[in-house]
Amino acid sequence: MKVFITGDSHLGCLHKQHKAMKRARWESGDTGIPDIKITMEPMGPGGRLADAFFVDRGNYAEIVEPLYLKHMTRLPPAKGKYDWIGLSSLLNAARVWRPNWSDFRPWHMSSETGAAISDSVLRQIIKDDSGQLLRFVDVIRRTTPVFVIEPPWPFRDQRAVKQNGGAKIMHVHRLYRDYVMKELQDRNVPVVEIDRNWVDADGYTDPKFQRDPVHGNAMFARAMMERVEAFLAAQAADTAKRSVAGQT
Amino acid sequence: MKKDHPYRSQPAKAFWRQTVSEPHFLSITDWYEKKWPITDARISAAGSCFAQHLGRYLRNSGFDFQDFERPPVGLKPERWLDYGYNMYSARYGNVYSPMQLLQLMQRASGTFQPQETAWEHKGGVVDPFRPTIEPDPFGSVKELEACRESHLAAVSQLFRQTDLFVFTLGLTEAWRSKTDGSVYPVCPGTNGGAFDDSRYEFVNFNYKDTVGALKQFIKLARDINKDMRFLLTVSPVPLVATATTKQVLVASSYSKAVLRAAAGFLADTYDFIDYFPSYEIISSHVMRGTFYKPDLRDVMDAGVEHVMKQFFSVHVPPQKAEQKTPVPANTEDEDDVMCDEILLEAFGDGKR
Repeated sequence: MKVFITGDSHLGCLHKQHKAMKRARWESGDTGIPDIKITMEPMGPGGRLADAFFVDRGNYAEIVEPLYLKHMTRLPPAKGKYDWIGLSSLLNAARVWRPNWSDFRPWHMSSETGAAISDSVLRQIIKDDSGQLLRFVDVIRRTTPVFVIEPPWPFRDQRAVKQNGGAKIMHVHRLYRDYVMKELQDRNVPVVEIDRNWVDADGYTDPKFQRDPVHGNAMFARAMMERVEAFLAAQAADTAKRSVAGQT
Repeated sequence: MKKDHPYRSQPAKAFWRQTVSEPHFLSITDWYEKKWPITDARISAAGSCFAQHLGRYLRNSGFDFQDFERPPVGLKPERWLDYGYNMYSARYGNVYSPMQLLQLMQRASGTFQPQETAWEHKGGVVDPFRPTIEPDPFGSVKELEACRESHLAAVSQLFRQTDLFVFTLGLTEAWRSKTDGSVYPVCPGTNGGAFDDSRYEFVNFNYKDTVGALKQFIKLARDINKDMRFLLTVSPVPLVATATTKQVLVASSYSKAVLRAAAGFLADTYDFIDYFPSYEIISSHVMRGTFYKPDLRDVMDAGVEHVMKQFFSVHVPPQKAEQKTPVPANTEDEDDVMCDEILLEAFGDGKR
């Protein structure tokens, strides 16, 4: 099984950990999961993923955002046939909760500062922010199955938490996640989720998984890569089973 | 004895032949003479839909146009108007009649509390006083009330912090509550609520009503802000439909005549009220309907541009559009740098 994984900056720690895991296995003589070859290539920082960063070319998405063109020209890649494509960028709500929200608040948060905004406005913001990436998924799915890797939930010492207040951040995060999860579910796109035990009661990721205020560290990446591998192993086993049964 | 009379001393603009008949109609000048400069004024606007254009041009031309309900971060600019942002100086939507404007101010100051506060619509509720402010209804009365409270606080702030209030008079026809006199921007039942003639009545405000409501509004506004000035205009957009027994064009002419006369009377009476003739510039027969779209109702962009050209020839826009609203510090750029670094660190060694 050949797998291509790409995405935003959260891919960085996954890539480093994937390399470290491969090296450790090689040194110990462990062959790892048989027949699964993972390639990782970044797209770039997630800041432009809500904009028109690609053009639909039918069988592939042509990347047109200059920031991402440095790394990638199209997806699926022109060379190589992949059984799965993984994306690390779909569930990252930071573009929505990171800007300055001090002048606005979800309507029900009467103790927070700022003008009340309706649920409908917030839903529209989330829909628009995630729209490009969901369309990107739709293009790739025409030729290759897609799965999504969840990034860490917000860390409590994020600058935006101090600036906007944790309640606003977590409200936006939850709405965004619920919306995108539902959209992915409707498309039958599986998600490799984080373990709920890694977040506290308020929904912040445990700082032991933290590299910097935004990204997960090696421990987080290792745990997520184990989950990714388990997911891919299950898919490979399923494919093999169906092959034996003559279904593929 | 010298043969003289008052017309001898009148300027050229007072004479039809020189001013209107002889020049090409697009070259007609002297439409307007300002009463006072507005360059340094904090300007807010409200009115019927034509007023949106006026506000947009003022905003984009470097005047100190105020917006007390700015769009939230993340809402794309192409969505702003759908959600009532960037339309006027606050999210009141279209304010068609002086009575609606007066009640808006009274609601904002807490001196008028309408009995009807929510209309059911498509499984949710809408605000009877701005029923189309968002594409979807609010999910609950609580949500509607929280958003309205925030909106009215912004309106209240608007009247405290405005030096020039621009109001475009749109309609004399309206629907109001029989119970408490609340005037609605639309007929109940068209965008929420249900029409019930035991609860609502049609009203066609006459000249006296119109002048009375405007005077009351202006008095209240100047009680809050004693130096506030007013620029009145009349929308050249005819009625889309009339609820009178008259033919719609006849009804529309009456409506515009009342509004035009009221605005003219107030501008002639008070030195702090001015009138700008956008109505005449578009709808006068001299203009041959040039600036109307094929439906002979909606105004083309070129018409708005022509109106604003006349306005800006008198109120010359400030040389440089300044950023009046401080832009709050943002964490985005710093995090983008951080994201770049993490990818460089992971993938920068060329070994993938």
